[in-house]
Amino acid sequence: MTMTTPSEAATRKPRDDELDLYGVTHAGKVRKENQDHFLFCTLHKTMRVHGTSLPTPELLEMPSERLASLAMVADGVGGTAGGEAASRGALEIIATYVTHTMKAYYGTDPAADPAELLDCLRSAAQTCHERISAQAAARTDLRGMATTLTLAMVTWPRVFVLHVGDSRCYRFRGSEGRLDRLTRDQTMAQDLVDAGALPPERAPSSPFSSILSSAIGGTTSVPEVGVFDMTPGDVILLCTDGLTRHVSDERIRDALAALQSSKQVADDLLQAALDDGGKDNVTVFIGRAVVPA
Amino acid sequence: MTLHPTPSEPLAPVTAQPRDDQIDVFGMTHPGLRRRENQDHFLLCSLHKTMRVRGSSLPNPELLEIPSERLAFFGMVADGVGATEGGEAASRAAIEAVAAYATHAMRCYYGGDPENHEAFLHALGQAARDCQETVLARGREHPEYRGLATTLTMGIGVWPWVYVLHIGDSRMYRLRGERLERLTRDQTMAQELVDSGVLPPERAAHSRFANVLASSLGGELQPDLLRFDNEPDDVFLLCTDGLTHHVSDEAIRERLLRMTSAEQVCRALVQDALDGGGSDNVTVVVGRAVVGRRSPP
Repeated sequence: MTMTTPSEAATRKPRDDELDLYGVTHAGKVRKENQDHFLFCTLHKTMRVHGTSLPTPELLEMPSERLASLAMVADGVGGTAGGEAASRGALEIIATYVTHTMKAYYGTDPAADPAELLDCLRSAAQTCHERISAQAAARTDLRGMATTLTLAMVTWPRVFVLHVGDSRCYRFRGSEGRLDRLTRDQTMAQDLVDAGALPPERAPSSPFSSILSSAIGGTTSVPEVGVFDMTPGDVILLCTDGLTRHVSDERIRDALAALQSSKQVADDLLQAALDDGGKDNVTVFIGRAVVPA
Repeated sequence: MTLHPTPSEPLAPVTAQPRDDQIDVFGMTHPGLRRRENQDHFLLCSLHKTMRVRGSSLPNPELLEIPSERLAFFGMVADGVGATEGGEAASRAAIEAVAAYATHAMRCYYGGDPENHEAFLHALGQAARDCQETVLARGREHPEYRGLATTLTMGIGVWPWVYVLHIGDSRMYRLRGERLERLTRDQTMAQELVDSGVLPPERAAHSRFANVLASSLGGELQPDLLRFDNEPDDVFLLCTDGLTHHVSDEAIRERLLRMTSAEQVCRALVQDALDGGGSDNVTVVVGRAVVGRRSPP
């Protein structure tokens, strides 16, 4: 291993062993079933040697290069079987679609045009919506099922976000102690706020706050995509509304500012939601890179 | 070649990239009968995209992992130049450097987007120039390596194309149907004289300029950058001049037509070169896809 200078360590793409990723889900204290799901994975480019005359071919086995880290949460809505089937199906469809169609050079070329990957994410959501809708139409026990979907894909130094529904993606900028919400809740309440018909502070308690205006498998599905920058020390948090109906952005920010590990913060935030009542299923994913001292 | 499609095993569509288990590749090198040192090198490798699940609430997330999606296949041979110790080091350094650069160059290429052909070939040319710098730097640091040089012929299969970077007088051939095509042009002084009409082609092989390279890594670098299409039944062969000194194109064609596996035909060709005198190091690399055909038992 070679030593890196502080300036290098401060800007380069984090190594695999510096990633600290953790996800947890809990049914909550009121519901019997957990219709939330999460998945996080990494995409790599690896070299395999099939034959050579070189004396030390292992030198060529380049440490598999990580192209991207991908994390998703989904919050199913619908009947007993439907909600869970929808959130599970959505993650499976998206994971397969994105990993197969994602081009190899993302993550290796910072100058690559992000438009193509944004298009890929948008069509992944569209494909997913069509397939979940078709499954719901085909089976009576799954009728009316739908799900939220929030995805964050980090191809250093960027994070791509795909979002449908009212789960959330946050970016905590460690260097400034600032929490940015990267997604907009797709609820009737938020639509009213945006239209100027409802004061923002009343949105959480509005009867429309839990009515989705867009969902995978819903009557309306309007995927939103975005791309944001990442700097060393940033933390990505994904969660379902089971967390945010109990835990404020301010508390999330404080928890991330005091972060020791992804697991510790995710577990603490989950506990805070449960302590406050745990009315819904709670899912939290936290991803970061350990910044070398 | 025989086709035995069975109902249970339908033929893959011709446009599909061959699966990993349908790839039949082999490479070998031999010092020959006269030289003590082998200054040839070869490398066969492939680049894959893999997905690893790190955590999930899903019941069987491992089912989502892509076993391995092959992005590209690389085959290369290099023939170190000069009777000194440096030749082996040069060809080794060159092949290591080129492998690193070439896989790096993959960042600008994926799949069959024709708009990227030029960009990819350009990146390969840049890889060769960077590699030249590596070889020259080694010569500056270690006087005993000064003047070292090497040939390099590399084929990169990105289905359905094969990209070629060619420097020097190693060769790449393609067998298509019954026809053997030489895909590269020898970068020797003799070939230059033939091309300019000064030397009759049949005398090139015996000319005293036959062994003088007009282009090499470490010398006067003038890489040829080429692109060919790849059909499912094509067989590709890379070799150093230790093979072609002794084995004619016609004899190579006969061997490839009757091949049962990449390993069998490599061993047969190296033996042919040794039987013909083995005056130089011999390196042979053969690659093909076995799609919907059976090798004779």
